[in-house]
Amino acid sequence: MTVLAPSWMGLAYSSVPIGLGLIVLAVRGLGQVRPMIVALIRLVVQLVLLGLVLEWVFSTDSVGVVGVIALIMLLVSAQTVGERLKGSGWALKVESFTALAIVTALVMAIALKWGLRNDPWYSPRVVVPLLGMVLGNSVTAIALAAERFHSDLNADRDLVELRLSLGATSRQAALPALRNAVRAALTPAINNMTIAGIVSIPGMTTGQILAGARVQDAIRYQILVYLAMTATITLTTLLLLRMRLGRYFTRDRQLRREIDLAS
Amino acid sequence: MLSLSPFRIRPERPTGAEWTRGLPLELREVELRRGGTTIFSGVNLTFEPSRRYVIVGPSGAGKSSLLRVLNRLDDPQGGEIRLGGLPLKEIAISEVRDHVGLVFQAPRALPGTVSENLAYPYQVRGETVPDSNRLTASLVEVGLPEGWLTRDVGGLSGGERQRLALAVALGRNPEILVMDEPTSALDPESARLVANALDRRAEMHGMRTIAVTHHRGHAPWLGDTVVRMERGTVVEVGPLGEVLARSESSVWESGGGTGS
Repeated sequence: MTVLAPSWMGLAYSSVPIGLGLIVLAVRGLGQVRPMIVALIRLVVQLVLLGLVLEWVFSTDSVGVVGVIALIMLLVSAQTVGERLKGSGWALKVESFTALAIVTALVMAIALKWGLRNDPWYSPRVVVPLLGMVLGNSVTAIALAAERFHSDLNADRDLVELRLSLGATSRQAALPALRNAVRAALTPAINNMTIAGIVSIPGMTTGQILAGARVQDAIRYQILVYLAMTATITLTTLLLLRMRLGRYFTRDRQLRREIDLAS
Repeated sequence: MLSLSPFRIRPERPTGAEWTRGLPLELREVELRRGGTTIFSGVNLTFEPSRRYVIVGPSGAGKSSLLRVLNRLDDPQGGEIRLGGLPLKEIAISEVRDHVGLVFQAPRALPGTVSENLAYPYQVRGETVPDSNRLTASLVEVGLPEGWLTRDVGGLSGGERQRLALAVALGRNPEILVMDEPTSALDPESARLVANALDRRAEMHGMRTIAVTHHRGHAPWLGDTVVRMERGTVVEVGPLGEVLARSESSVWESGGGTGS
């Protein structure tokens, strides 16, 4: 069996079915034609550009270029988390960046050095896609954690202050909110691992098999990626919530008001 | 102001002075602002040991907010609160919360059972929870039925939650008990019973109480010295009878107010 990548002509053939779908949508006046076309064009342009960038990055094989790209990915991730929680200001972005940077550095270092025995360790062909997968999932998770923590503390403000009045520390008073935030962040990761290989064949496994890799290799690679992703999600969530706790509470066990948090 | 200090390593201020019992709690020119609004200002008060105070005044006068600075849920922006000569801020926060109990207005209970609520103050301090006989006694003290320890708080009425909150706050024998409308949801008989329980605590343990109330009828049960507040400041402090005789009807709201 030979494994061939699709040619541009192959992509043209492959776009026939979605073209049919668009025709029906247009004829029946059901809408979504324009947004679908825009999205398709964006998909192609964005991925082609990504391909060019990656080709260049891979060809440089330079630790500096990989570092700059990792930094940009971290900044964009932190920015995305910050935007999810309205009125959180700079604080959440700074905290997210810090948490993501510390944890991904640790997780990536272990995965590259001992997990994959990458040579050289910074080889961009491995670092960039791996970091992308790890960050992409963590952004959603810590945004969910931050949102849940914020909404719980506000909705149950009276119970939090009751606990404080009864002698609880800030951490004790916030414990139910912390537990809910952790659950919100970790549930998708736990579900994904639970159904992996049964309901869904993970995208990376699919990609590697299609590209001709040995099945057993693809599976072990996928497990490594899940371990790295889950570790990053868990540790960034813990680190971020630890920093959030110090922002919502004063050192004298007082729950700040929203008005003070935003400023 | 923009603050970029997420790197707070210690969650708590590490040290603080101890609380000394039997000292007056003094407020000097105390001012609390929230956002751009002044909640109260120029408040001068002294709460003497073993005394019983009632705070009255129309809704929005700043009564509830005043209670919150006494156990430091909020810190005033101006003036100073002192215990004896010592600023309250220099006393360890755990000591302050140990010695100043606060019963909120129309309180919710912590999710769980009645006994879990009673046990909470001991658990967060890592102390042994008293046995069920003692927990039951604290229920009976505020007029709740003996067999209620295992009851889920979800089914409690407003008045029952009020009395449970009082029992929880009384559990650790605070020197100062601060209460926001503690009898607003109680019938006269229960209110009387609660007031008697507070009397006994004051006599036996020298507890001083500070209670906000809108009930003209309940005020004499809750204290003998009246602090009258209006529009964010204290306008009068005096013996209950005199202030009652002088004050206009605006101080009292039928059926209790929603507070400030």
